[in-house]
Amino acid sequence: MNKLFQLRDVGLSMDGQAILKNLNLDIFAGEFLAILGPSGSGKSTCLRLLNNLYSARFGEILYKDKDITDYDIQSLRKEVAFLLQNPIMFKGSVEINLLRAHEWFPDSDTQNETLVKILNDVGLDEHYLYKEANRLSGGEKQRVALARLLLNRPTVLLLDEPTANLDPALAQRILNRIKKLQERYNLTVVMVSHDHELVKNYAHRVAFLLEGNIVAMSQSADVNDIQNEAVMAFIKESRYEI
Amino acid sequence: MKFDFLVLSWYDVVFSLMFVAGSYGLLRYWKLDLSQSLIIGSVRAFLQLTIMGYVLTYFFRQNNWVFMILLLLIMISIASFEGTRRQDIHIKNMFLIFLGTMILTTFVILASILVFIMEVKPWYFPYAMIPIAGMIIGNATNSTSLSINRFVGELRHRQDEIETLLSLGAPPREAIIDAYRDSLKAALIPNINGMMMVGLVQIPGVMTGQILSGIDPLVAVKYQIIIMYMWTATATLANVIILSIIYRGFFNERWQFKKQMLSQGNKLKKIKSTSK
Repeated sequence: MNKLFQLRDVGLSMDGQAILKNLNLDIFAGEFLAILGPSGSGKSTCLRLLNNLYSARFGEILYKDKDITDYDIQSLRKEVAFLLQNPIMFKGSVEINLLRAHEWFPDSDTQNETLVKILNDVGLDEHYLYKEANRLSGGEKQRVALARLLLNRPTVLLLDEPTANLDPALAQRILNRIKKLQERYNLTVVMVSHDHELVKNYAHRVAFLLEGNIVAMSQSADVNDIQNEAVMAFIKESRYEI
Repeated sequence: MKFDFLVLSWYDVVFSLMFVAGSYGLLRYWKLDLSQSLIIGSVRAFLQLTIMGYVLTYFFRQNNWVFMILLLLIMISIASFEGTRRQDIHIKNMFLIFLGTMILTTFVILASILVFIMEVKPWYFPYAMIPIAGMIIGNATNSTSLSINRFVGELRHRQDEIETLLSLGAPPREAIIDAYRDSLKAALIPNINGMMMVGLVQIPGVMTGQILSGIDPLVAVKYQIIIMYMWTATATLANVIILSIIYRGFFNERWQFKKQMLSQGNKLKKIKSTSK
């Protein structure tokens, strides 16, 4: 498989505190990579680096073998889509929410049929188009936010704990949907989570991030066979992010 | 129309101290902790305004445009310093941004009033220029301080929204547009409400002053109307300029949001680091 992202000795600190330290990670095209770790381990920061919402202070990040900072920022963010933990809905209908995110991309296909198709992709019917976005449930908002990203036809989906505020059954439904979308559109998915049980049905590989560094990498979704003390302690003590 | 009794003597001013004395007596009777502040406030008002009167008399006698421009620049610099001091976070080059905004706003509004509306001759006639410039600068300082504080508050409140928009490829201007609009609105509402209410309850300040000095109320009304329109234009122009400049400081060239600028300790940290 091709390496889509290559993170080499990446370091980042904020307010004098190191968030990421000499982080090395390869992300392959078409894979579903889960990044697990406790709260404050640098998981979300890692995703923000890939979308270039943050820049690395040290080291380099290559995207398709080219330094990420050499890309035009707008086209990079269009290609590498980022879903925040708490989906933000703008004032107005779902349709306005979908269109708002494409005002700065004049060549976007924003025809009504396309919007409906994308909504169907995330499991919502066309009636949702005219509903007030801020009145939707948490799960519905998350799906609208996902649809908004898909309109950009991204190649990478970065998911920052997309199911953290949802009940387990709904969380599974959303992840099933994401998995289907990944296969349909051949997306590369990088998902941050604190729940190793949840990701094992979806991820191809799992990376463990502790104190700003990858301490272990599982070549399968089953993390129980990882022989790393810190990871074993993390799983055993269930010191998961809440 | 002039009435001799409208000309006040210093004895009249001293006699007006009876208002302060009456208030002082009431405050003492109710054992309010304000009587000392009342005395200090009254003395300060007397001294500050008397000094201002002498200073203005001196300036009004200077019939020299270079002198007037220098005076305007001093007024603008003091206002810019005050505006910068009122911000609770550190924004790079804030003083210069304030200074540029004030110079541009004052120049445009003052020139329009003096040259096109009042047709003052010479254009730097101190009796017209100084009070009008003072109103423009004062209004612009208050209004921009309000809008910047509101803008910073909006950015703090909307961090996730701004990050969402940026992550979708929005340019910084699009990412902050709602925060910008709300801040501008908050800054302009007092001026617009002022125009809605003027003349319904009380006679506004400029008009009161003119009527007391014997000017026909209809002439005073014209001045008041022009001044209220001028205030609104000043606030609009100054806020549009300053917000359009400062929002850029919250982003870098990679369209990344500098959230750390929003922490309230930021100004203190900056002061500490520069004093090392």
